[in-house]
Amino acid sequence: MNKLIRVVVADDHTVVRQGLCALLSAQSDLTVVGQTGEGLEVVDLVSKHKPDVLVLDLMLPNVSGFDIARQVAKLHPRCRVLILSMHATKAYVAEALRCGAAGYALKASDATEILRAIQEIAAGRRYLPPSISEADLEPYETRDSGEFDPYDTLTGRERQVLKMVAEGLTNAAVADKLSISPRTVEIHRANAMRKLDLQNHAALVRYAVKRGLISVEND
Amino acid sequence: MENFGSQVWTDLLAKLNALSADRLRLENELQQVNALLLEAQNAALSASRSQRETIQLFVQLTSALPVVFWILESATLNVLFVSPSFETLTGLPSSDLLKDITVWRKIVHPEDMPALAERLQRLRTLEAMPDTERTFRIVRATDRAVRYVRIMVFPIFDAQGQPYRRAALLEDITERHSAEQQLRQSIDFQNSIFANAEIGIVVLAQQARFLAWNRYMEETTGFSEQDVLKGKHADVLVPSHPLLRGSEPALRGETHTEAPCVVRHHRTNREIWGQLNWGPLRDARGGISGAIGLMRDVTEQLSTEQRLRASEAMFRTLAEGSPDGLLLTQGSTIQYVNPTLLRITGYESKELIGADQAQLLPEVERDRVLPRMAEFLQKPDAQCREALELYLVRKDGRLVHVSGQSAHVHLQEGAATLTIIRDLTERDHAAGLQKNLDRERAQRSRTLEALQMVQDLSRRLANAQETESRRVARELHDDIGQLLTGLKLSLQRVDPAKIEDDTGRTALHNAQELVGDIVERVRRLSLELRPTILDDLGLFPTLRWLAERYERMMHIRVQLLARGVDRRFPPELESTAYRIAQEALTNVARHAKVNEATVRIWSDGVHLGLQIEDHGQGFHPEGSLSARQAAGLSGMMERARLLGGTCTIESRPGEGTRVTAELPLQPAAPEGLLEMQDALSRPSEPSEPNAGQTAQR
Repeated sequence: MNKLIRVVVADDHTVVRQGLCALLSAQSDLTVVGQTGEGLEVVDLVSKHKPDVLVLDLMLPNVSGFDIARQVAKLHPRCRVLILSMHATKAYVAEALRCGAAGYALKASDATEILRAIQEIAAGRRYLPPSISEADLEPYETRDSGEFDPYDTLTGRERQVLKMVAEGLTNAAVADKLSISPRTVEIHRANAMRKLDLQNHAALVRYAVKRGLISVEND
Repeated sequence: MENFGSQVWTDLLAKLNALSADRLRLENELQQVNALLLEAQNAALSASRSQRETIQLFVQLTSALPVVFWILESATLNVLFVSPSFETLTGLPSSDLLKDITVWRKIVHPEDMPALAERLQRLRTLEAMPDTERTFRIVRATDRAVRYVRIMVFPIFDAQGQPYRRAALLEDITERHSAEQQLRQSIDFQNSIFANAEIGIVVLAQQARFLAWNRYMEETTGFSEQDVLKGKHADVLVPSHPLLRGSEPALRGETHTEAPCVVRHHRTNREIWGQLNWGPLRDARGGISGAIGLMRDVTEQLSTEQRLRASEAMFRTLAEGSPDGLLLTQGSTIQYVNPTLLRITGYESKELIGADQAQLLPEVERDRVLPRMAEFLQKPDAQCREALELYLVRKDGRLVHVSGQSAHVHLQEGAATLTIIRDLTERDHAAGLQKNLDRERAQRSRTLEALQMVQDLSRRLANAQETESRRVARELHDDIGQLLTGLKLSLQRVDPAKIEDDTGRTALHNAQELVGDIVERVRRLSLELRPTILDDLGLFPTLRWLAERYERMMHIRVQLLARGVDRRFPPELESTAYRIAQEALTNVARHAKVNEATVRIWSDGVHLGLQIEDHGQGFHPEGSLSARQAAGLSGMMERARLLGGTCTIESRPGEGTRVTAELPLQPAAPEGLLEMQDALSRPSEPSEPNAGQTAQR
């Protein structure tokens, strides 16, 4: 290793931070150029030292680690961020990567693993905890699922009312059939139209026909 | 031979004798014949004289009568006789008719011609005339005057009883006709007046027997003419009825006008004011045969007056019936006091009217009240909003506790002040009762407040629980967890090789393992309390995490579908949605007996929606639920309701369960606790796919 990896450590727990610094300083290829326990100081510290790696605790006081990661990624794209977190949850990992972090290591992991993580990301690769694969993170990457069908979100009542209204029944008639009040019918109808993003009655009927809720008789 | 001669003689003598006897007889006979002849001649003479006279009389008769007689042969229609007046009537010479009966065609009015032609035809062909009388018009030849003519035809019979001639009689009825016409017109006119008059006409005979009841009466009362005349409404239309009150004096011969009365239509209840004018109905001899009443609608002219009187009456009713005393003053002079105020003060009306209002005030109140009154009077726009409590002095000197409130009023006579005076004595007496009432009311409002407080508290409690969970979880996870991590790292830095004794190495190893175990336990505990992920990452990642954890632990695959939720929601909303999802999924795991569930989460920027659905065994919404499950369901609904949202739980045995929640992003006020619905409900119809319960916004 020709070049020393310059590291800034940000963690508000002194014990953890000092332990970590001691661990890193003991490595021949690493040098700790700055450390802080204050979330708001992190970005300044990075600006000042231009480290190769920022080892960032997710839970700093006053400001979320995700936000810091996002800022650093934006302001100092050459600084690679390693999130060091208590959370072994994929969601956190996925979120960290979304925020521009290059790696994610667990605080519960062995010291060697953390060192490896720093080396990996300094080399331009991604680092994930051994328990998590890239594939595990996929479900977290897209939040709007294509299979989402708004019709499914209707309650049974809303479906009944939608169909009857599309068939041309008045609120009063629907109310009569279902033994509920016309006002309740109106609420169900409005809810269904809102959920399905239908602006008016014509759109409602069109939807019902397209969807096959009601049949259009041919004569 | 001598004998022969004498015989001949004798014979001759005998013959001579016989002859002379014959001659005598013949002479007698001749005499008788002559006498008969004479008689006959006389008879003939007298007969011819009588016939002449008859004819002469007949002619005289026919000429004298204003009718035309004529006789014709049925068979030939030859006119045998026509009386001379024919000429007067028609302006044609009689000879023309005698020559040809069709001369009629020249004079009959063209409009009547068809009828006459038919008639002439009948004269010829028919044995008997079916109608013997007919009126038609002729146009007189001389002056072209139109005359109305009536013709009557009679058959004349021969010895065998067969009609062989016709006698006809023509009469000029023009004068009579026009008189009739006039009469009819006049009757029509009267009838039309009677029927169409905008005035009611009633004619009564004795014993309230109706002789007439015109259309106007029918329209205003609703009683039809027919029914009234038949006596159908005799039970209503009795002599004392306001409409008929005047008929009795009229039957005695008096004429007079009744006071206006309300005439109400008995079906439509439309009312008018009617005024009846009654008079006797006299027959030709001047006797009273009935009473005639004429009714005018006086609503219009009455209305103003009536209205005034009505409002006056209303005022009087109000004023006199008012439980409050009323005092009307101009300046400080009393103009009116109502009976209630008289009762309060013990005065009589005449003692107060015209007096100064200060008379009612005791000395102690004058300094306080009078300046106020004066001030009030000077501000004509002032509204006295608050009642002033004061004491009045009664006539007997006692004081009475009242409240007074004044208002400016405008009378015809000018500005005045109306003061409402309420006797507070009773109120004072009833103060105890009132206190009870107040207490009750206060209690009720406290109950309501308490309910609101409970509602507020439960919301705050939910929040507090969340906050507390969050705090403890955070502390466990971050502080204790971090400390443990530090400890773990420290322990790792100890090189086992540098520890000399085995016991020490084992202890180090154990300590390291123990710390790892504690770290894991603390992590789990903090997740159970509240996943920090919810605060750190938001709802969708948390649900994704929940789903994965759930799949791993429950072996139920969760399909998580989302739309529009790549954002953060208000913390309350996120925790409520999370708790609902958690609860619903827990129920699926416990009861649904399925290996798949779907969680949908969506937002349109106004609402956050969440749905957890399974196609498992479902449950009967009112059926056998464990207390924990029931509490779980109602807990979900209550959580949604506290944020002003809804949570609908639909389930049917064998078809699965669907929990649908919608929460407004802008918190809306939840409806009152009193309206909180039961957690469980029954499906309304078997044919419905789902049924459930909704906590509505």
